[in-house]
Amino acid sequence: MRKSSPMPAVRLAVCVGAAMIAIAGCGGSSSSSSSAAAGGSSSSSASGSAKHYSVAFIPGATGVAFYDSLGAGVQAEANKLGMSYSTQGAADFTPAAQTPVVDAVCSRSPSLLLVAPTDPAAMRSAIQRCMSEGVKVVLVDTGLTDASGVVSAITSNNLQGGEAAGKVIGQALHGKGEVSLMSLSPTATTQVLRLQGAKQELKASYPGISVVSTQYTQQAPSSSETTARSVLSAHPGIGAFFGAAEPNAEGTAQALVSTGKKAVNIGYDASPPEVQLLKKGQISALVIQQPALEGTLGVEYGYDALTGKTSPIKKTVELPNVVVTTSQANSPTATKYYYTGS
Amino acid sequence: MSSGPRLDPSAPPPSASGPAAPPTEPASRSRLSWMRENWIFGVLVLIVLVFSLASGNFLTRANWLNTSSTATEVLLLAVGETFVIVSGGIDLSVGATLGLSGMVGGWVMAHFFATGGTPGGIVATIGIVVAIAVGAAVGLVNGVLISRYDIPSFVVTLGTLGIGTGLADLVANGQEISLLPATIGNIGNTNLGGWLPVPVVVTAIVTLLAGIVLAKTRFGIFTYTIGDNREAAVRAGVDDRRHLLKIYVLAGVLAGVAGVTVMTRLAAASPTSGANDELNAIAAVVIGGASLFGGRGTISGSLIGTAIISVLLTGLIIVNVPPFWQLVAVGVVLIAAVYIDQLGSQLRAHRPIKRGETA
Repeated sequence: MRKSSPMPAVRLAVCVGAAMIAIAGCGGSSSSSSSAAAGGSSSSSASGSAKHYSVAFIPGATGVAFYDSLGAGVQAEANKLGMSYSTQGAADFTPAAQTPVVDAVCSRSPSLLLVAPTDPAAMRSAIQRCMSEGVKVVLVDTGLTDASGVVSAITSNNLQGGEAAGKVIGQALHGKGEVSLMSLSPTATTQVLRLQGAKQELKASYPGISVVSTQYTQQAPSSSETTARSVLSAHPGIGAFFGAAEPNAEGTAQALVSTGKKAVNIGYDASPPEVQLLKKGQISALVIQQPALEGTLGVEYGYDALTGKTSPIKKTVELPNVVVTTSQANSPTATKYYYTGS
Repeated sequence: MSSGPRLDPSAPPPSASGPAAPPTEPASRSRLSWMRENWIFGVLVLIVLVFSLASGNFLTRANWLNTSSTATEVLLLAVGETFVIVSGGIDLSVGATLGLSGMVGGWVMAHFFATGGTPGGIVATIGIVVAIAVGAAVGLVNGVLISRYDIPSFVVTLGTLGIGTGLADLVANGQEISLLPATIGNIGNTNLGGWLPVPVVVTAIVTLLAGIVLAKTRFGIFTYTIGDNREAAVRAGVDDRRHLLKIYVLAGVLAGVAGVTVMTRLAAASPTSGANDELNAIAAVVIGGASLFGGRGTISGSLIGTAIISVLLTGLIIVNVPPFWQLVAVGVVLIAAVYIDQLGSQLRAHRPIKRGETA
């Protein structure tokens, strides 16, 4: 919620509003499509297995390029294995919005569920209910504190991603200067770890660099822009920004354009707008995860679990992140990591 | 002090005398609101003073440019919201409308731009017109449902808040649109005379015009009258339904303009733009002295309310208040601001007032 809530009535309105949006999110973005991609393979029982399997994917929130790419990976692998694919999600990245989605999806009894839990503790009970119905569950992106019973938990190494960002900053500033950090949430584990990784790396390897500001912004990029400009006012000599979430680096890029200042701007993920700014040099480097690979691996392991081939399954996987700088932005080794757009 | 339904029939509602030149009542109203605003303006000055003493980076050109362009987003919504609240309603949909109009305008531009050939200025103009038209359309839906079908504004705009948010996500599957003509980004980042960003100039003109309309014209008087006592307004010959329809369309149009200014600032359209902005807009209007029961409020008050919210947003970062304390500080200042405002009213209450003045 925003800073100001003038009246109880208004507050109530927002809560109800949020609930409504969540419901809209629940009902809205269904796209079960076994017909897409994988041209020839007739959708059902192409793999020759006797039983027809289905896979459902629930992202942390809808409308996020990272999850769209993850979903694309899930769908491609599902098509390959002859599984039918569907996805459902809530617009808000909260357990309150995600729980009813998980319950609703599981009531349709998919063979396999890939889910990115929005809270490591609060999402346990809904996922537990799902597993007790006999649904195989793979966790992707974010995890659960108690992950017992799940087939596998696949995530990006966020600490490593933060460290990588710290390294890029340290090198770009030649070990001296001021840095500002930004993220969307002081609690979401992924973002906490990214900032922590960056701070650790800077402290350990670049003692001449100091983190002078840590700010939390709203989801809208305009919030990051205002914040970055305020930070630039507060610390005119700032040398680098690191944003742990997509809108942070976008807003910072615009803040640098509008103030005419120069600073290293490191972003996280590779949404189409971010990639565009990277190519223009308004973002100096992106720390990129491998969401499609998370999806592919998740379906593979889930399929193995369904067909009783448990030996290749790894219970936990931490995929490394890659760093792409502006000068590498157009090389094919980099572009293959960019997330799918709308 | 609040202006509930008038129980005493001997006290005629302001300007019940009809559309003719307002007699004494509106004059005393404007004097009263000016006094209210002195108090709340004092709060703003105090905040600015504290920030200026705390950091040499506060009273700078860079911070003026940042704070003023940030404020345009909330101010445009607050101006529309002032009309709505003065008329006794509420519009919860303006933030979502901002996001939706930006997305549709952006989508149209990306579409035109992708096919190429058309000059950027023309594409930008089309996009801007489309965005404002989308805002007007949402306002029209709100207005029709509220004025013709008598569904409470709270319910209607809560509904369109959800609808607008969902539609904004549907435009580009929840993603941003950043392939806009360069003209858009240039508009947002041109500072006239080095000090006045174009969105700020546009917002200032809109605010000034709205201030004149609400304070000095028949349209404004009707708005107060309907908010004060709708029945009396009807009896005095005001077409209340038609008037309310216009007010919600106005709020929608201004949300569309706000959608454009945010888009020009970022050189991109985002479906998350405007999320929760309706709260800031309503807060700004209420800080500015408006009554949520209708009949009271001014554009200048809402301007000061918006300024307080925006100055806090940037100022707390500049004086290095830790992030979690920023939220606490904003909450405390907002409550304190309205309390000080009320204190001012109580002090004034010690002198004798004519009954009409309490409106």
